[in-house]
Amino acid sequence: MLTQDYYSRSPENIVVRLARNGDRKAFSELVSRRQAWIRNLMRRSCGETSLADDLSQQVFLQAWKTMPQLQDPGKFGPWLKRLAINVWLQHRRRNDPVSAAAGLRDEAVATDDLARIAMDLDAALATLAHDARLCVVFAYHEGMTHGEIAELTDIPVGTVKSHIRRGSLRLREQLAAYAGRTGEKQDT
Amino acid sequence: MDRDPLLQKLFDIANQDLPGDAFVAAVMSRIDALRRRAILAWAATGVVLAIAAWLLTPTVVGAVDLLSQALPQSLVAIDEPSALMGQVMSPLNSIAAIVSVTVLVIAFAYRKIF
Repeated sequence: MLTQDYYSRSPENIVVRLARNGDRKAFSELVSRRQAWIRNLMRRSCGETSLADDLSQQVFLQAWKTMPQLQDPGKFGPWLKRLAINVWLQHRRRNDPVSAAAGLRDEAVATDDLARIAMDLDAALATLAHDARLCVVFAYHEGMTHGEIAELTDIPVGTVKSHIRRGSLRLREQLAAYAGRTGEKQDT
Repeated sequence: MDRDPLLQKLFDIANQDLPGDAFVAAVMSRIDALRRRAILAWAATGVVLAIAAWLLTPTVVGAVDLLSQALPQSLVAIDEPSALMGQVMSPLNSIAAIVSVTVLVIAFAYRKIF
C-alpha cells in the first residue's frame, strides 16, 4: 500500500500512470495538484465562483472516466486543459448566453487585494461578448496562440485576433485604475 | 501574439493559489458515487440477464432443436445423392443454404445502398 506522501513526492507522469490504472489516491493527488489552475480558468471563463467550481468538478469527473484513453502520461496537462475547455464550451452551448452573462458578477466579498483584482477582472470580462471573453481568457490565462484558440473553439483565426484586440482594449479601459498600482506592487 | 502587459499582469495576479482540500474531497466523493452507481448498474444487469436466461432457456432450447431439424432439410429431392449432380447440389440444397444466401444478399444490398 502506497502512502499519500509517496504520491505527493512522485513526478506527475508516475502519478498519472497510477491513476490511469484506477488508483484512486493517485487521482486524488492529481486533482490536488491541478485544481487551482482549472478552477482559476473556469472562474475567468464564467465569473461565478460556485458555477466555476461545479464545472471544475465535472472536468475532473470526465478526466477520471476517460483517463484510460490518455496515451501519453507526459501530456496530462494539455489533455486536462482540452477537457476543461470542452466542458466549458458544452456548458455554454446548453445555456442561454444572455441569461448566463447577467449573473456573472460574483457577489462574494473581496477579502484582500488579490481577491479584489480577481473580482474586478471577472467583472470586466463579464462585459465582453461570450466568444470574445473565451478568446481573451484563453490568450491571457492559458497563453494560447491565435491558431490554438481558433482550432479549439472553431472560430476563424481572423475573428479570434479581432476578439482579442477589441477585448483587450475594452478590458484595458475598465481596468485602467490598476495601471499604476500593479506596477507599484511589482516594485515593492 | 501581442498581449497587453497590464492585462497579463492582472490575469497572473488573479490566478490565485486556491485551497484545495474541500474541492478534492468533493471531486472524490462524486467519483465514489459514480463508482457505486456503476456497480449497482452492473449488478442489476447481471440479475436481469440471469432471470431472462432462466425464463427463456426452455424456449431457446426448443427453438434450437427445431432449427437443427429444419435447416438441413433438402429443398429438392434428389434420387441419387451420391451421383455427381447430387454432390454438386448438396451445398446449396438445404434450407440453411437458402437462409445463408439470403442473408449475404441482404448484407451486400445494404452496403451498396447505405
